[in-house]
Amino acid sequence: MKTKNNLIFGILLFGISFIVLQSSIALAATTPAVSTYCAQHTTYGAWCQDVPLSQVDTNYAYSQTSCQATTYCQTGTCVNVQTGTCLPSSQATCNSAQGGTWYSTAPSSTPVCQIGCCLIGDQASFTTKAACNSYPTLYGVNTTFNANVNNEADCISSAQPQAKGACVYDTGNGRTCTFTTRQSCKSISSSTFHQDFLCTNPTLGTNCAMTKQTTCLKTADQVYFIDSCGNQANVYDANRVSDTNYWSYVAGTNGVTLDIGDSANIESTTNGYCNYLSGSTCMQYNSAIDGGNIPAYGNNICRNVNCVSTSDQFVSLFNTQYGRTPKNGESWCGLETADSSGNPLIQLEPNGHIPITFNNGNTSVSVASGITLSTMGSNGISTYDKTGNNPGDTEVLFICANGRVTTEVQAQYRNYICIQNQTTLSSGIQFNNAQFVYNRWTFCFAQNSSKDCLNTDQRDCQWVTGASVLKDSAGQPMVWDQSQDLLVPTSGPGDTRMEASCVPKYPSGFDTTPSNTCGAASRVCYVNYTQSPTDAATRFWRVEGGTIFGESSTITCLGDYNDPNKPEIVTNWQTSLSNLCKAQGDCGISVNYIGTNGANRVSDVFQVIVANQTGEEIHG
Amino acid sequence: MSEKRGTSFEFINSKRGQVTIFIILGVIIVGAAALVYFLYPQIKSAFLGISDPQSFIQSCVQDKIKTIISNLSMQGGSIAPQNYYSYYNEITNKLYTVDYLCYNNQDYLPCVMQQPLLQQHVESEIQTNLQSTADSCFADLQKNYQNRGYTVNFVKGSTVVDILPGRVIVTFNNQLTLTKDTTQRYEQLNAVVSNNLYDFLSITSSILNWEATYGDAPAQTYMLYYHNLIVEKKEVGSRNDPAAGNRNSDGTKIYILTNINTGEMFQFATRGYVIPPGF
Repeated sequence: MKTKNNLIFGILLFGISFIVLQSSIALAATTPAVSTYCAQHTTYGAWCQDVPLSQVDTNYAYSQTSCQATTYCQTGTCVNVQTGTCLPSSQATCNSAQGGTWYSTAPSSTPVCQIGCCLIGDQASFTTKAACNSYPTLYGVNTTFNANVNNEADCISSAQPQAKGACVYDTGNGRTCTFTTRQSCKSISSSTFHQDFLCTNPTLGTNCAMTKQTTCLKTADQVYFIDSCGNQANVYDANRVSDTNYWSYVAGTNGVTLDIGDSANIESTTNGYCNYLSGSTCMQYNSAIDGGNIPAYGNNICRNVNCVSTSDQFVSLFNTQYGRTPKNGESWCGLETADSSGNPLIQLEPNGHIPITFNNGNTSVSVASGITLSTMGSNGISTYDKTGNNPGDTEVLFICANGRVTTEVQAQYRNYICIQNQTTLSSGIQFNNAQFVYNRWTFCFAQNSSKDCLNTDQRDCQWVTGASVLKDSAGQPMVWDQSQDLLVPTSGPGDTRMEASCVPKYPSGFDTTPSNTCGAASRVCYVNYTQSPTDAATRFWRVEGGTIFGESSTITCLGDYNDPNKPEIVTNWQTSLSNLCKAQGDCGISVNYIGTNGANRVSDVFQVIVANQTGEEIHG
Repeated sequence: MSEKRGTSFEFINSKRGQVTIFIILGVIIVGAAALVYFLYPQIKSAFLGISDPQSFIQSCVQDKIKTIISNLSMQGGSIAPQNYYSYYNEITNKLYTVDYLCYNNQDYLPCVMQQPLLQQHVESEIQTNLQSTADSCFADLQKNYQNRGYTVNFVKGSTVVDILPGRVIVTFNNQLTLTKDTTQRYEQLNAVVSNNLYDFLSITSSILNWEATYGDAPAQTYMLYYHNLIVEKKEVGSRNDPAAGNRNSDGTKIYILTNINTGEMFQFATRGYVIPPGF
C-alpha cells in the first residue's frame, strides 16, 4: 500500500548521463574559433586548401576566406590538350605551358568537354571532343567528332567497320603483306588489297608464313594465331594449325568457320575462343595460375577469370558460405568481427548490413499498414550480436574480378554500409551483387512522422516507439498521435499516447575521440518513491507504479522538476531510454566489434539521485 | 726438380688433374660472364667498342628509366611527393610516400585536383631525374669514340619524354658528330622502354574525375572493362592499415592499379568528401 503521506519527498533523478556528455561540455567550453585562409599553395605542397595562416605558402595568393569564395581557387575545367582529359580543377594547377587549357565552367558546361561520338577509322568511341582531338597525335589516325550522338550504343553502331584483308606490297627484300583495312592499305604505295584474305594465303605469294605462334589482342578476348610477319590470323585452333584453308581466309568467309568449343574454353589447350562474359579471356600462359594446361601451340591461353583459387582465404570463405567459388564480376559483403575467443575473423553478410534491432518491447501499438515498426525493448543494453552495429564494426566489400578477389574497406564509422542482393542466373546460380552505399542516417532524428521517417528514398531510418528524442516547446518529450501520424506535444496527465522516435537503421560509429552527440538521448525522470508499512520494517522503497527501478512495468514520471504535478506514464522507461541511447551511435553500454565490453556500466549510464522536495540533492 | 716436374706433369695428365683444370677454367669463364653481365655496357664499350651511339644510349639509360618509372609509380607519379600519405603496401612489403592527386583537408567537401596534367607531370619527373644519368652516358659515349680516334663534336639539346600507349620514349635532342674517315651526324638519339604507364595514367585520371565529382570511384567497373587490370581501393588510417598504428581514419584512400600480366603497379592517394564520425 502506498501512501503519499509516507512519501519522504525523495525525488529520484534517473538520468542517462554519459561520460561523453561531460566531455562535450568541456569541448564546447574550450574550443576557440580558428580562422582559416584560402591558400593557393600550402607549405606542405597542396593546392587550394583552407588552412591556418601558418600553413600558407605566402609566395602564392592567399586570403582570409573560404577557397570556394576566391577566384584564384575557383574550380573550373582543365583540359589536357595532350591527352584530351577534362578534369575539374583550379587555374593554378592547369599550366598552359604544360598543355593545359583552363575554362571557368564546369566540365559538363565546357563545350570541348561535351561527350559525343568520335569516329576513329572504322572504330568509334563515345568520348569528349577534347579526347577525340588527341587521338591523331597518340595513334596516328584521323578522327571525326559528332556531338549530336548522345548515347554509346548509337555511337558504336554508327561506326562502319571496314572490311579487312591482306594488303600486299613489295619491299626491297621481296613481296610482303600487312593484314589491315582497305583504307590503311591505300596509304602504302604500290599495294594491292585482298579483302577477307589472310596474309598467309598461298595465292598471294608473300613472305608471310604460317606459324605455331599465338597472340592476345587488346581489342578482343580471343587467342589468335599470328603469321611470321606478325599479322593476326584466325582464332587459335590447335586442330587447324596446319590447315592451309584456315590460314587463307578470314573466318566467316570462303567457307572458313570457327570452332567456338564450349562456352568459354577455360584453360583449353587447343581452343582459343575465349569469352569474357562466360569466364575467360586471352592471357599469356602462366604455370602458377594455369597449372598444367600448357597450350598445344603458342604461349597464350583462355585464362579463367572466375575466382577459383581455394588457397585464397576469401575464396575459401565464400565457398563455405555459398557452396561454390565466386564468379567473375561477383561482389559480396563481409564484417570484421571475432570468434568466441576474441580472435579476428571475417563473417560474410549474405543480406548486407543488418539494421539495428530492438527486441522484446511493447508491440501492442497498432500501426498503419505498410509501416515498419520497431519497439524498444528489454534488450536495450547491448549484447555482442555481430550485426555490424557495434563500436569498431567495419565492413568489407569483396570483389571477384579478372581471377582475383580484392577487398575494399570504406565503412569506417558506418558512414557507408554494405548492401547486397542476389540475382538468379540462367544457370540457376544465385549471383551476388554488393556495394557500399552512403548511410543516410543524419536526418533521422528530425523526422516527426513515421511516413517521413520510413521514406527509403530519402533516408535510412526506422520508427521506434517507447521514447521520444524530440521535445515540445516546454521541453517535454513528444508523443505519437497515430491518427495523423505526427509527434505532438503531450496533453499532460492521462495522455496514454506513446512516445516515438525516428532513429537510424544503422547508427553511426564514432572514433576514439569522446563524442558530444550521445547526450541527445539524455532524459530525467522524476518519480515518487513510496514505502508501505510492510516495507518500512526493511526500509524498502518502491517506485510509484513500478518495482524498485520501474523495470518491466509502467512507472509514473512526474515531468519537469519544476512542475512535478504533470506526471506522464512511461512504459519500460529504462529499456526504452537504453535503446534510444544506442540508436544515437556508439553510445551507452556497448560491446565492441571483437566482443570486448566497453567502459560504461549501468551505474555510469543510469544515475539515481535522491533529492528532497525542494530539489536539493540529499543522496547521489 | 725433375722429379717434381715429373710429378706436376703427371698430375696434369692424370684424370684428377684434368678435372681440376676444367673446374678452374669453368670458374674463370663464369666469373668473366658475370663481370660482363653486371658491367654491361661499360665492358662492351671498353673491349668490344660501340656498335652505334643509338644502341649505346639505349642500353645505358634504359635501366635508369625503368627504375624511375617504378619508383614514381608507387608514389603517385612523383619522385619526391610533398603532400603525401605514408602507406605500407602489403604486396611489396614496403612503405611509400604516396602523393595526393586529389585532396581536400576539409570534411564534407570534394577533393581539389592537384595534378590535372598528370601525364605531363610524370613526363617532367622522368626527364628531371634521368638527366644526370643521361649526361653521364653521353660523356661516356664521347670518351669512347675519342679513345678510338674519332673527333667528337657534341652540342647538348633538350630531353623530351613521351608517355605513349605501351611504351615510354625519351628523346635526347643532342647533336653528335663523329668524324674519322667519314663523318656521322646524329640530330637526336632515343631510348624506348616498354611499359603500361600510359594506361595507368589514363585510368588514374578517370578515377580522379570520379573522386572530384562524386567522392568515390567504382573500382569494379574498371576491372570489368580492362580485363588485365586489378583496381584496389584501400581506406587507410584504420586498423586495416598496418602503417597507421592507432591513428583514426582520416578519410584518405589509396588506389592501387595492377597489371595482371606484367605485375606493374601504380598507386596514388585521394582525400575528398570525407564524412567524419558522428554528427
